[in-house]
Amino acid sequence: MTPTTLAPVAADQLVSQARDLSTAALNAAQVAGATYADVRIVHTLRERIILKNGQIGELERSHDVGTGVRVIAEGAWGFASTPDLTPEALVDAAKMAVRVARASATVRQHPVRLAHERPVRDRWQTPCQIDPFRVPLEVKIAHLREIDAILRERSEIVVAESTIESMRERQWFATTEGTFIDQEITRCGGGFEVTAVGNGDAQTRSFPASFRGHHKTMGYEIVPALKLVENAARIRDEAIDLLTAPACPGGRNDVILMGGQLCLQIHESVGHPNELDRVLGMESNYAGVSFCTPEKQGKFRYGSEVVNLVADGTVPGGLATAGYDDDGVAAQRWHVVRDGIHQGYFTNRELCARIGENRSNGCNRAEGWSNIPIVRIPNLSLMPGTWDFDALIADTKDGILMDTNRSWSIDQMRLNFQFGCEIAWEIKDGKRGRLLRNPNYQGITPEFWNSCDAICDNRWFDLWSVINCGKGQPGQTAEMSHGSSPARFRGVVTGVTT
Amino acid sequence: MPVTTPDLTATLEAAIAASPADATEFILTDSREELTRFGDNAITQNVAKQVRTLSIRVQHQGREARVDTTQLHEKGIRDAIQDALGLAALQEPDPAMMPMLQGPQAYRTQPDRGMRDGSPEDRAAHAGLAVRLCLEAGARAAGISAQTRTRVVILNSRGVHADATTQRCEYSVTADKDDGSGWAKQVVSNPDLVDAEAIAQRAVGKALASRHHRPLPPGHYPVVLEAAAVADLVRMFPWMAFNALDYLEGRHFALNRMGERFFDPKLTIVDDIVEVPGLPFDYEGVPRQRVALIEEGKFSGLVHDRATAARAGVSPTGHGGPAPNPYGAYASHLIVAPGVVRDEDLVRGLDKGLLVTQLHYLNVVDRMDLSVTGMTRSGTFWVEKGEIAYPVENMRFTDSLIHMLGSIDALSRDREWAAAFWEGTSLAPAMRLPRMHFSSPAGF
Repeated sequence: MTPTTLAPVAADQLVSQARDLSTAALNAAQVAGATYADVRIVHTLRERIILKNGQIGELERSHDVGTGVRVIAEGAWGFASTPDLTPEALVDAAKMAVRVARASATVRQHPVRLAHERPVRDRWQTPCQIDPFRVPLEVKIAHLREIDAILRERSEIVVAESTIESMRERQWFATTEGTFIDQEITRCGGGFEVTAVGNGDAQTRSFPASFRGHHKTMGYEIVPALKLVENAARIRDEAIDLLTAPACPGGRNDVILMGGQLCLQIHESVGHPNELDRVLGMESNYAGVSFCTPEKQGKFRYGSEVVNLVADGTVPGGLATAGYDDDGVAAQRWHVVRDGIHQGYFTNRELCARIGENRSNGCNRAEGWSNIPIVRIPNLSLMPGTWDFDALIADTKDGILMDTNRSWSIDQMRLNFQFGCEIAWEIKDGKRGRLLRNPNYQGITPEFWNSCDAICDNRWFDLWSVINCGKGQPGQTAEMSHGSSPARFRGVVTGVTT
Repeated sequence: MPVTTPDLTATLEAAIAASPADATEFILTDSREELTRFGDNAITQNVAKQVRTLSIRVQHQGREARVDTTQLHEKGIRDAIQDALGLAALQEPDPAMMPMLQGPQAYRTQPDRGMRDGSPEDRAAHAGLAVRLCLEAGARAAGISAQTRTRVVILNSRGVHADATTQRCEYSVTADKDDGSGWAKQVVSNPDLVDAEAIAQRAVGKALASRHHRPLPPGHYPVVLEAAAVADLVRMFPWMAFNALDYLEGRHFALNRMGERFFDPKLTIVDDIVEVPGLPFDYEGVPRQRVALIEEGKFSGLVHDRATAARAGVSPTGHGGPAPNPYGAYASHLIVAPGVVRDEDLVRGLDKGLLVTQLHYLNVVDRMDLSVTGMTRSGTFWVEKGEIAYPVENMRFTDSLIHMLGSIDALSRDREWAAAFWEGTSLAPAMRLPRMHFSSPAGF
C-alpha cells in the first residue's frame, strides 16, 4: 500500500471570513443593547484511532466549526451559539444572547463588571514539530499493531487496546473592546491498556497513564517519545501478575505516589477547590463548593513546607497552555501554594475583583464554540523536591508504592477523597517488594498534603495529562496538565474495603 | 424552543443515493439546550446552545471509517463522505466487518409528552423563585432550569430510516444555610409539569433541617435512601454489570452465573424507554427493546449491540453506540420496580439508622465484586424510632452493590424520575436497607 497522507480540512478558509463575521455579530449585539460582547469562532479537527484486540475499534475524524456569542446587557450575561457561519446566523445569535442577558438581569445581585484588560491583536500557536494530521495513517496503525501484538502474546490477556489521538483547534476571538486573537492549539498523544483475567479476577494495566494515555500540546513527536512498544511487555506482565498478587493492606501506611497518580490527586484536591467560581458558590448545585474559602488566602497551611504548587499557562507541552484564555487574558504563572501556604485561586475577568485582584490570571475557558467560558483548572504542578527516587525508597521502612489511577471520588467540599490505583508494590526495609493488587487510599485534603515529607527532584518530573475534566452545566470537558515527581505521604489510610 | 434545523431528510437521502461507498450511514444529531444556571443568589450563566452534528460511516471494499462534521450543506456532506472513504481506503480489508443494518425497521411510537417551547424568561422566573424563597429563609440559592430537545435521525443505504425527538426539562435547587445544605430536583419531559415552588421549598426545608449536624463514627448502618440516592446507586450497574461486552470478555462479576440470585428478591431492574422516555432506537438503528436486567434478585439480562449479539448468538437489544464501537452497549434508562410502602413509612420503619437525601461522586472500586464508593450530600440525618433525631455530617460509603442490595427491607410505592449525578435518568423508588458501610466521615 502506498503511504497516504490525509490533508486536514483547511481552517485557513475561515481566516478571511473570521473578522467580518465577528464584526457583524459584535455590531448586532451592541445595537441590541449589549455593553460588552465577544465572539469566538472555533474550528476543531480531531482524529482518533483505537486498535482493540487486533481490530480497528474506532477510526474517526471530526470537523467541528461554529460560533459562540457572549454578551453583557443590563449588567448580566447572555450567551447563544450557532453552527451556521453566515452573517445572518451570527446576528441572530447575538440578538438571542442579548435577550438571554436581559432575562438574566431579572435575577442578579450585582452588575457584571470585567476587570480591565488591554485590547490585544495577536496570533499565537503551540509548537508542533511533526504535524499529526500529516503523518500517514498507515504509520499510526502500524505502530498500534506492533504494540497490540506484544500485548496479546500471552493467553491471559482478554483485552488489548491502544490509541493515538490528535486534535487541532483554531479559534478567532474578538471583543467590542477591540481585541482580536487568532490562536491555534495542536495536541497529540496516546497510550494503551491491557486486561488480564484469571484466578476469578480481572486486572487492567495502562501505559503511560489510564484513561486514553498521555497527551501534550505538541505534534506527533510525542508518540515515539512515549515508548509504548518498549513498555508493552512489562505492562502486560504486570497485569497478569496482579491476578495472583495479595490485596493491598488496610490501616495507616506511608505511601509513595508516582506521577501518574499524583496527577489526579493534584487535580481533584488542589485544582478544583481553587476554582474561584466554585469557591464563591456558583457550582454549588452540581459539583459542589470548596473548603478553601477566600479568608484562607495567604495564610492557610494547605500542605507541608515542601509542598509548592504552581499554576502555569505558559509551560511548554501543557494541555492548558495557550497564548490567551477565552477572556482574552494572556497566560500567566503563579503559586497556588508556596512552602505549604495557600496563595491564590484560578480566576477570570468577572470574578477576580471578588478576592481583591485587579487582573484575571487567565483561567476562563470554554469547550469549543457552543459553550460559555467558565473558570477552569490551568496547568498545575507539584514542584520538584530534592530526593532521588531510589533514595526515597531506601528511606521508607514500611510503605506502599502506588501507580496509575484506576478510580477517584471526592466530596462536594473537596475534602474527603478516595483514590484507587492500578498497581502497588510493598516497600519493606527500604526495598521495593512484592506486587499488591487493588490498592486504594483515602484522606482529607489538608491533612494529606501536610503529610507530604519528600518529593523527588526534577530528574523524575514529568507533565501528566488530564483530557477528561468535566465541569459545569451544560457539561463541558477541558484538558490540562499536572506535573509532578514521585512523592511520599506519611500515615495514609490504605486498603479501604467494603 | 424549536430544533431549528430545516428538515435535512431530503438532503441526506440524496447524499446517500449519490455516495460512491458500498454502504453509507448518517446519524444526524440536532439538539438545542437552553439552560439558566444560578448560584450565590443570582443568575450566573444563561445559555442557548444549538449543536448539529452529522456522523457519517462508510463501508467500502471490506473497510469502514467514520467522519463527523458540522457542515451540513451539500458540499460539506459530500466532502465528509470523501474523507471517510479516504480513511477507509487506508485500512486492510476486514473479513469480519459487520454489514450495516438492513431496513426497514419498525420502531415503537412514543406518546405525545407535551413538548412546548420554553424561554429565557420562563427559566429566569424559575431561578428568581428559588432565590426569593432562599433569601426569605436566609439561605443561599444555586441551581438550574434547563430544557433540552434532541432530534436524532439515522439513515442508511440499506433502508434504515429512524427519526425521533426527545425532550427533557430539569429544575434543581441547592439551598445552603450555615452548615446546612438541601437539594431537590425534578426531571420531566413536559415543562408544564415543573413544580418549581415545591422543588425550591423542599431544598430550603432540607437546608434548614440539616443545620448543626453532629459527627457519626464510620460503621455499618441501616439506611433509608431517597429516590435520588437510589438512582445514583443503580446507575453504577451499567458501568460494571449490564454491558454484554464485559461479560463476553470475561471481566464480569457474574461470569457463568447468569440467572443466579445475587440480590434481594424485592429488586427488579429493567431498561426501557416507555416509563423513562428515550429514543425508540439505538445508534445502529436497532429498535430499542425492554430488557429485564435483574428480576426478583436474579441477575437475568445484558444489553447488546449488534456486535456482541452476533458473538453471543442472540438478538441485539437496541442499546448500541455508533458502530464500530469498542466499548459495547449501555443501559441508559433504568426502571427499578416499586414496593408497597409509603415514603414516610420507610423512615417510620427504621429503628436506628440514616436517612440519605443524595449521593455524590460515585465511582467504581472493584468491578469484579461490584464495590463502589461515594459521598452523602444535601441532608443526611440520624433516625431513631422512626423519626428524624438530628442531622449528621456527610459520610463516605464504600460498599458492594451485592452487599447493599443483597437484603432490602422495603421499597417505596411511589417513584421519581431521578437524574443521576454522572449520567442517565432512572425511575426509582426510595429504599430501606438493613446495612450500608460508611467508611469515613467528611468532617462537614
